[in-house]
Amino acid sequence: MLTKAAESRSTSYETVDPDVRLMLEVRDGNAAAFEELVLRYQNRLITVLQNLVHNRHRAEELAQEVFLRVFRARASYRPEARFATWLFTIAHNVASNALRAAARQHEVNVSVGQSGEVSAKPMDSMAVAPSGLMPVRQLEKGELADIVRQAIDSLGERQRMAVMLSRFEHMSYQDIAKTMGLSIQAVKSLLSRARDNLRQILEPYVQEGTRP
Amino acid sequence: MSDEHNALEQDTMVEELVSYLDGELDTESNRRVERRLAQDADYRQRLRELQRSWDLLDHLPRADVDHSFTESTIAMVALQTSDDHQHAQRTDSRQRRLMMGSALACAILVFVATFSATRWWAGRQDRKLLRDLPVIENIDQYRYAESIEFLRLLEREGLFVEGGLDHEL
Repeated sequence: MLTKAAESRSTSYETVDPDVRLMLEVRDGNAAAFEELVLRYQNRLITVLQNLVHNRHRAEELAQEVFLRVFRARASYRPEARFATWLFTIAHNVASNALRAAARQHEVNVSVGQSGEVSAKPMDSMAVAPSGLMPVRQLEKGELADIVRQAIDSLGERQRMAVMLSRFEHMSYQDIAKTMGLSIQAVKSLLSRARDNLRQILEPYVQEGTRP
Repeated sequence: MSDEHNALEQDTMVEELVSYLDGELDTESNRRVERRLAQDADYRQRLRELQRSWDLLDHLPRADVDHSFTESTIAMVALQTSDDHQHAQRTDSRQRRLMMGSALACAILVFVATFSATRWWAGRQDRKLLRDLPVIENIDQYRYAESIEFLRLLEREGLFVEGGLDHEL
């Protein structure tokens, strides 16, 4: 049984968010509405997931898992947030589970003595390696992309997720808090620390082409 | 103590600047940050650095999948939900069978219990007669006895032993 306040909230999200209306159509059995939602969100979802799990193929698999969960939850769907907030809450859970599973797998591999190649190059070597023109040369676009990716990878999982939602989804602190199940103050601290970490890693590259 | 204080001050400053850049400050805090930006060169520099590193995130890869991804997603979802439906039907059918089996077992149990109870109830007179049979068989002899003591005396004499009197005779 919905309370009056919850009913009023549902109605307001339905009014302001067209994607909520689409999801309500999905709930009522409109398959075309689901396809429209997939089309609208697939790239956004994969972009965020890719930067969380560092693997494009895995990100696509996880995005499909998210859409499957959305479809399975259609019967009980109630618009209690913007659709994007609801979708990325599911994505956050799916990505967290995947990262935990990957960490467990990694622990198992390490414990049995399988020492794989380290995929990420150290930041120092990247800064000076290819051209030898460091520290004052202009960083090339591809190299800069690698450095930015590594800077993002150096953040913790929660910082990374908060950064993705803020930068790519332009979510407010309130929506990020809802998506990640945190308080607004926790999101504020998380983003503040994440952005300061990024500044500390990236600024020396921008200024001098070397690590501080 | 002083280092801790400086670190705390730095954290507060960064948090304030990041909230300012994200448009998350209230009007009064916004004005306060802007006043300080106008006066404090280090504060301004930190803001620039935070903004610059944030802008660099534009270099991160953005997904741009083609329609085949959409099609495979829809197909996968349709397949999975069809499997879910079949699984749910199988589970329902299994549960129905289980419930019917349980109901049958309960009915049999109740029948057996009722039958046993009825038999026990009906046989209780016979069991009483059986228990009292030695008394009934000797009722004529007991009738002549005057007391329990007299009967005990007769028992000690071996009157009730099988063939007791015959043996004596």
